[in-house]
Amino acid sequence: MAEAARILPSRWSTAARLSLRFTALYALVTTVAFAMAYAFTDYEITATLQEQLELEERILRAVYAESGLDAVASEIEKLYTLNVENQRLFYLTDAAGEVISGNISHLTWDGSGFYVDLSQIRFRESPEIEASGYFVRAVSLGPNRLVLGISASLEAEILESLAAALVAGFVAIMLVGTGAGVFVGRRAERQLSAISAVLGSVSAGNIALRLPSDRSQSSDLRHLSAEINSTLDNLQKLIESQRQISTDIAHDLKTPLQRLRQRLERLGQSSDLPPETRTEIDASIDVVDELMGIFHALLRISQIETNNRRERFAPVDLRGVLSRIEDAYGAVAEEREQTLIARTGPGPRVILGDEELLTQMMVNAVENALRHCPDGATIEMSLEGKGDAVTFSVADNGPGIPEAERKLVFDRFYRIEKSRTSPGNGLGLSLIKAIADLHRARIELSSNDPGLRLSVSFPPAGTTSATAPI
Amino acid sequence: MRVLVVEDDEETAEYIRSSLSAAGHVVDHSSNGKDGFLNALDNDYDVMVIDRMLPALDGLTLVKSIRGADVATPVLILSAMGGINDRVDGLEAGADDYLIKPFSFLELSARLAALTRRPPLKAEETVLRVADLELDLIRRTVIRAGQPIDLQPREFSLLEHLMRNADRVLTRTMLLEAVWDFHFDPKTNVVESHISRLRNKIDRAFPKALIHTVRGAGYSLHG
Repeated sequence: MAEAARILPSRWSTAARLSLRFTALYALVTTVAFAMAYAFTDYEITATLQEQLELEERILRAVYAESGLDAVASEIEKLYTLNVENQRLFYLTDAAGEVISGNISHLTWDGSGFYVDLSQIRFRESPEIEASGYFVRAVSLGPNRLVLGISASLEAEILESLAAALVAGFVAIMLVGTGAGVFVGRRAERQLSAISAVLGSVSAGNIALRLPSDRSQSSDLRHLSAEINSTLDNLQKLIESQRQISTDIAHDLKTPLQRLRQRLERLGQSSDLPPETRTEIDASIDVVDELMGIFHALLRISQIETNNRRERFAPVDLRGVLSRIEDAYGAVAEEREQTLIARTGPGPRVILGDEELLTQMMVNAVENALRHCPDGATIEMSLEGKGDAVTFSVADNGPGIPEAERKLVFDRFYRIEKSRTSPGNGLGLSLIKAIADLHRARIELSSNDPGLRLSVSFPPAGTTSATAPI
Repeated sequence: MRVLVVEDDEETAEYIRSSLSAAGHVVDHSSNGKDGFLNALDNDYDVMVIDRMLPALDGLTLVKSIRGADVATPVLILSAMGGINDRVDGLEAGADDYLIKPFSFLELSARLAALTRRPPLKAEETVLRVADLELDLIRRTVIRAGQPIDLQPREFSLLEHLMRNADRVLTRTMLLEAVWDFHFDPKTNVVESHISRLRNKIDRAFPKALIHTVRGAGYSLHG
């Protein structure tokens, strides 16, 4: 049975397989029990019939001993006259084998065993014969031989009814058992997959989701849900406090930086500065601006992550955005002999979102490619997809990112070792991810063989998770 | 020009006031919304700089009140909040420009100048002229010293913008917003690249350069 369950396709759920195994077990046990019941009944009936024959034998022996053969013959006559449908068999023969009395004219039986079938018997009168055979007992009365028989039909009937009942019972057990198993299994499965869906959504970023408390769940599932919810609460607090840290730092440092910048500016405004000093001051201001840029980007990312202003979304024509980007960055690419291509394909490319953020995201992606690729590289921006399930990609034939680092690059400040000295602050990809997350889009980094391909896939409208409150 | 600055942070207010004064402007300062409102109504300013976060009164509400009182003076909002929709909120409240702190004074100055420029060209003016450079808005043609110059559409827009603001400084951020509708700081030199291309076409073959780089600030077109 276990082997049978194992050869099932593995995508059958645990519930179905468990249910099937239990059903197989029930079937086995029930079959054994019923078979035993049947066997015992058979044995008991046979034994009872044998006892009856034995009793008759004793009575007839007593009659023989007291009153002789004729008395036995007339007793037998009485008995088989009362006999209905030849349920009973009586065969009294003398030493020579001549029939003295009974309802049988001829019997072919060597005396061994307990049973003879119809082919061995020839009845005197042949009315309806129910039985297919008889249980028999041979009795010696002096030199005479008496065979007592009783039809097996009664037993057959009883066993038939019993069998029918047992089979019906078996089928009922199987049906109810399987049905109940499937029902309970399905329900548990549904509840488990609801839990699993929520957890999946949480790990995709919807950290505020919780499992609903469901009265219909068994108490251990409810308990599990409650525990998971409290773990998620802690997780959420942890993540938010983490986000808060970089935001707080950026916030606190902005004001002193602003003041520093103002002082430097004022310093640079004096008219009697030697040119080297002026250059130094300008360079210092550039550094301060660079720091400001980092803080702005950090704060921006934090805002986007925590401020889910999805209700302000409006239709955005991505084609138009891409065209503006191609227009603006074509000149930039040209300066390093890079080639920038835009490919949008047929069909509308309109999604629901924030145009400014989407523009910034796409620009970041293109700037990243332009910056990290060597002179002469080719960068292609494309919009693909059906309807509003659009995918925006930027693919280049530059150095690419090693597979091991592809997951890490979205962390704030992560820089691939070899590009640590080039301009940029490592926040570009974090910003891209924050904006993509806001739009519930999926980001993928893959090898462009050679080079890198960054893809942002927007979900079609209306497929956002129904249980997400965000 | 006469400028009203409504800013509660002393250092920032002082910074703005002293820099604008040094550039020859007359500056009035209010440190809260109520005074700012009264000042805006009582006096005639060329431009107002209003901080978004004021004690007891939100800067946007102040702008709405000023507009409600039929004061059409251009307003630039100064804000530490560079949030996604904050700029849009500011413009919807009636402001004309939005600058995020921290900012450089030159940026502020260039934007204020752009806000106070003379009213837009009269309807009949379809040709912009600076020195020997002519730009025809209807025909979309550019001629310098009699020679036609072929420009791509975006280059044309860029030149148009520079010419409309002739003699004024236009910062990179302003150009990005006006010509490409980009509202963020790019890491690459989009504006520089295009200015460079434009220069190749407009200035290189001619004795006098019209497009000038203003150190630390941006660009300016003048004869």
